[in-house]
Amino acid sequence: MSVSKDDRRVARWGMALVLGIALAFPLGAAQLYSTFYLDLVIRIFIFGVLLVGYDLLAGYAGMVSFGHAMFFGVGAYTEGLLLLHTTLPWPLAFGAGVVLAAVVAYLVGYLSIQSKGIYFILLTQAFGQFFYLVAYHWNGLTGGADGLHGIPKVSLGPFALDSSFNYYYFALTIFTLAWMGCRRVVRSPFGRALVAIRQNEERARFLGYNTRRYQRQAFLISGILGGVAGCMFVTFQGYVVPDFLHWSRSGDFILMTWLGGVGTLIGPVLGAGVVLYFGDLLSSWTQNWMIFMGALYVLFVLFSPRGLMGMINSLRWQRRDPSADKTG
Amino acid sequence: MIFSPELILTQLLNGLMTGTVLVLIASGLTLVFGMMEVINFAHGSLYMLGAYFGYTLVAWTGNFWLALVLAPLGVAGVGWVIEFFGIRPLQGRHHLYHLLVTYGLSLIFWQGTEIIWGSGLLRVHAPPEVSGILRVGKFVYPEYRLFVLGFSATVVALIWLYLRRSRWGLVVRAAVHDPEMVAALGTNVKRAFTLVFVVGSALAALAGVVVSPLHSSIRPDMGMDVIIEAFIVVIIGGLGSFQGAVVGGLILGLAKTLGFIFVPRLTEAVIFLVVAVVLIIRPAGLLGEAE
Amino acid sequence: MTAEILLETQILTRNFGQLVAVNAVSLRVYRGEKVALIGPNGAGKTTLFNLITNKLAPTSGQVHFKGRDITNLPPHVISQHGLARSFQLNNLFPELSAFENMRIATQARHVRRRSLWLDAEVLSDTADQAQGLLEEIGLAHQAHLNAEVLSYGDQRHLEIGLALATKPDLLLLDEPTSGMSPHETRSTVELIQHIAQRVSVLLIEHDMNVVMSVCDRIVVMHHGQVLAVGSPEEIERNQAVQEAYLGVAQ
Repeated sequence: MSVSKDDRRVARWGMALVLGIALAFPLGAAQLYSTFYLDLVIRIFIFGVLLVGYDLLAGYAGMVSFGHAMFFGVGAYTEGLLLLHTTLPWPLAFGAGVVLAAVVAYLVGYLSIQSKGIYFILLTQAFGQFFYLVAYHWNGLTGGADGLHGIPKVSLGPFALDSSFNYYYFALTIFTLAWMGCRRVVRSPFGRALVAIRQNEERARFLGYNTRRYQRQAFLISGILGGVAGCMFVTFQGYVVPDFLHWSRSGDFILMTWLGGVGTLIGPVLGAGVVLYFGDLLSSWTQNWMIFMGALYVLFVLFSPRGLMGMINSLRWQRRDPSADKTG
Repeated sequence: MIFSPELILTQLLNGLMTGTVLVLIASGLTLVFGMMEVINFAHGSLYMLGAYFGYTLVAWTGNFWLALVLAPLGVAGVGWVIEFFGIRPLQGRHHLYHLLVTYGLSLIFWQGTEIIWGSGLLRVHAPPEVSGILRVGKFVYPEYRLFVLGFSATVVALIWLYLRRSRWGLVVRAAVHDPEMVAALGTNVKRAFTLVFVVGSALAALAGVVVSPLHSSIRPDMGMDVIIEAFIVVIIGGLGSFQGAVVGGLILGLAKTLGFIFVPRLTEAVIFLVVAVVLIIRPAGLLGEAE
Repeated sequence: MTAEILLETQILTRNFGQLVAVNAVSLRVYRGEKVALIGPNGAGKTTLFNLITNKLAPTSGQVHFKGRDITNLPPHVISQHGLARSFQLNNLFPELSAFENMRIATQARHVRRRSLWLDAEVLSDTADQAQGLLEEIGLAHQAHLNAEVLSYGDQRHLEIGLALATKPDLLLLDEPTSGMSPHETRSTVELIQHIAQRVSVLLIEHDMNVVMSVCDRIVVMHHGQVLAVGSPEEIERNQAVQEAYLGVAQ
């Protein structure tokens, strides 16, 4: 599938446009539209950081973790505890959260990689639930079922992150870095090898690839990004509860990823947008808005497993060549 | 805490009761996976629906026993619909898709039940025939719990016998072991699978009905809680093995209740660690077949 | 001039419970040789390949490659040492193009194969090598097609090509012409002869024409044991071999 010069130009202008909108977006908040949307987009960025890492693992490396919420939670709790109980400067607390998430990711990854398919899914779920229960029951450390609250707002030097307006640019920056980073990884020799390993691990191994190492690294990267997202959330909302680590939160990530389009990097972020937006919207009408999510989900998996990105892509192909079938 | 013999006996019986109920729930899950490598995340919902159908039937008829019979039949129908519309279209695809679809379905059932029945307290009372208290010396134990234990154990024993002795039982066991071979020998594996799926759904629902008088209220999220426990049972016992489900269910039931005597807050977390260890060291579980 | 011993197995044995699949097999392959491994079905030939490349662990015995004991090394390390294999059943990357299949294989040897940062397209030497190999195996025109849509014969060639891409010293080919038409078989024989100019070859084959036209030495296996070793002419005249194949004394 070759990309023509025209395609590249369009893509570049498209990116510039998107970037422009993204930078200008907060300016209209409160005046043109409610600040609700500002907060929504911030949350999309935060979960987006986790999701691009998750897509790398689940979409490209083909390893579907059902416990990713544990990295989000470990990062969030670590930073929260350090900010509440110590005078550690915020960037270090943030870093500590990420480092701890990385350690957990390395250990869990190391132990889980050897399991394949459904066993990997169940194993990561079991680990995730373990951490959830630790957070829930260790009252002394984690505040038990109540979690941590009143985590102070922070500043990046002179730039105070105490308003949604300011936080938006912080979140946008981190998200953009995460996304660009993952895009880079996907196109690298490492990323290409991951895709090959997903399709035929045995052959990759016999060609000389240390497949376990590649998989461990992918797991680590996605775990680190999950930790970053957790740390971002804590300084935005100022609280963390055990529910953040519950397996159903991990299920939400899977839902967002597949709804948006697994293996496309940006798809899952779209999925997050849909789930978060409709979640907020519908939850004001009915407490049971998840039913729509569940239904959407089932329909997508049955009829459009490539998710939103798949639908968008097939529209694009049809526009270019109406006689072309869905691409392979 | 004084570890009196009465306490131990109480917890032992509780553990066995919880365990046999878990076996009822897990047996459908494990056989369905064994036959077609389908992970049915909606299995917990069937348990929950059993409780709710049971509640409604008791409310209409005032007869618990009737509900005990009819509710599972109703849920069996739901199970058939799930299999037909949700599982069959995904034949042959990676088992992740079954997980995704059934997960979505479990959300729909959970929320749908809350919409239809509301989230208020819904109490199912134990039938008067078994709602007394058993007293033996210093030992007291609710009759209904004994009933649950005896009833579940009986059903489990019947299933075991059926799998061992009957022709369909043989087909099911063979299909778990090697579905392609069974199909090649001319048996309609698809029909056997549907049967197992539907019966498994009914068993989960039966567990849901039988368990409802033990709680102060049935809840729409009882399915979401139970599916995780069912997975634990199935993992420990071995995906695809009915005997494994029996062993796993009893182990988990006893571990939960006995664990709560000694290390209440740690128990749950430790259980998951054990599950992780089992998956790492012996993914086939205690009685499953190694890949 | 003594030729270098590339591959040497020493009393290599593998049991599956009571069944002895490979029984005390000791053989050598010298650099520059083209050796055929033949024998009736179930003789243990593929199992022997699996033992050599450590897809299966031996029950006892050793494998040495280029003087080094590789018996318990992980498969990817063995491959890195220069011992490559193809598989009896096509073992490709189905949803990657033929070109990408090949490129991934050549990338496996590249110094920068673990890089997270470079754009893989920038590794032009892998792309060039991949292109060259595709031409060598005759798939230059199908480069853009996904491996799973290639014809069986083309897939078989790609199967060989992937192993070749790792620039091995010794190439183990497992029934390279299985399932092929006479025409495809001929082109595969040409390919192997071409390859054998720069790579030593040990191949499992059932087609005796292929064996005779390609190989300079034959190892015959039966019931997991080495029955006979020799030149094609010697093997043709060997009584025990005839009995093994035909089941009856001639």
